[in-house]
Amino acid sequence: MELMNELLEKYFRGETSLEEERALKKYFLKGTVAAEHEIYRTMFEVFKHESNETANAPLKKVIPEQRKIKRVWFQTFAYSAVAASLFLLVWIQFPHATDDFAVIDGKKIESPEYVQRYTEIKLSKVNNILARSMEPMKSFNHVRQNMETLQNVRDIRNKMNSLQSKLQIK
Amino acid sequence: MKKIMTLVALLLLVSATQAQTLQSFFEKYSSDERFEYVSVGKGMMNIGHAFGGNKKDNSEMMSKMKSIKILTLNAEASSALMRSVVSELDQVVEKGNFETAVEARDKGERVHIYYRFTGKDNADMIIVTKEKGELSLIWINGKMTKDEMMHTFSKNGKGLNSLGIV
Repeated sequence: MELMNELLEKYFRGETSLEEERALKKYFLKGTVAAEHEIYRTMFEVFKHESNETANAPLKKVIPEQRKIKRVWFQTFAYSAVAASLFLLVWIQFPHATDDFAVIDGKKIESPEYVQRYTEIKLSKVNNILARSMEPMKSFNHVRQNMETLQNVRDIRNKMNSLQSKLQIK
Repeated sequence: MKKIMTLVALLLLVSATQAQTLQSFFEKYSSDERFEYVSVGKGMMNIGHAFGGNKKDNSEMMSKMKSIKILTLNAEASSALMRSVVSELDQVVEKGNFETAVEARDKGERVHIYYRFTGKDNADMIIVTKEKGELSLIWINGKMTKDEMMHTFSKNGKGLNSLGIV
């Protein structure tokens, strides 16, 4: 009895060894329990009952999956960060590709002046061909403008005729 | 909603395919040693005066252009290469839904100008010049309306519209 009292005191102080705890469990679950210790029997029975319980299947699955998701997310984030850093490094390190270049006889010429001159020549050529070939259209427009003047003269004459006829009636 | 999304996806696919055809044509021959190829990006704004017209109009026009690509082939008109390229170009123009803006000829030199719109104000213009032993293709891409495009080539401020062509 004395021993059990000591063990119980140690147990509630959290100082018992595994061996002592086993002795306590044995006492409460199998042995004859003293009346003064009867209040602790229920507690040890609950402990025994809980130690026999097993976790439900979904709980077992959920915990590892949550960890996995977190790990995957972290890995994705880490890989993205590394990839972005590498891309930035390459972007900064290497010269930016320019859109202005010429390829003549298979050789790439990255001279803005050359590209500009080449483009100017080509565009001017197109402009000149268009200007020359459209010359008759300009003449046509000129004739049309002159015809508009004649149309005005005709309108004035018609108005005069109209006025004249009105005056004759009166 | 699903139908709208499908239609939008189809439209995007069609416009991408159209651009790809012209793009692939230029890509194919840009690395060919028999061709001269020049690419001008948006940064080069000093070529505006080559179009003629006044300085203000030119700078406005150049700000709307995204890129200019020029492909030149120096070969006899009767050569197999020239015939093949011209035939391929005709297919690109036909399949790419290009419309003809101008066809002009002067002393053995010919100019054909084709254009199309692939989105809101996104325009492609191809200028083909054919002369003895030379074929030049100029592809201008930019954010232009039809009117702006027709004023691209002007002489003394008079564009194609003012000549009554379009």
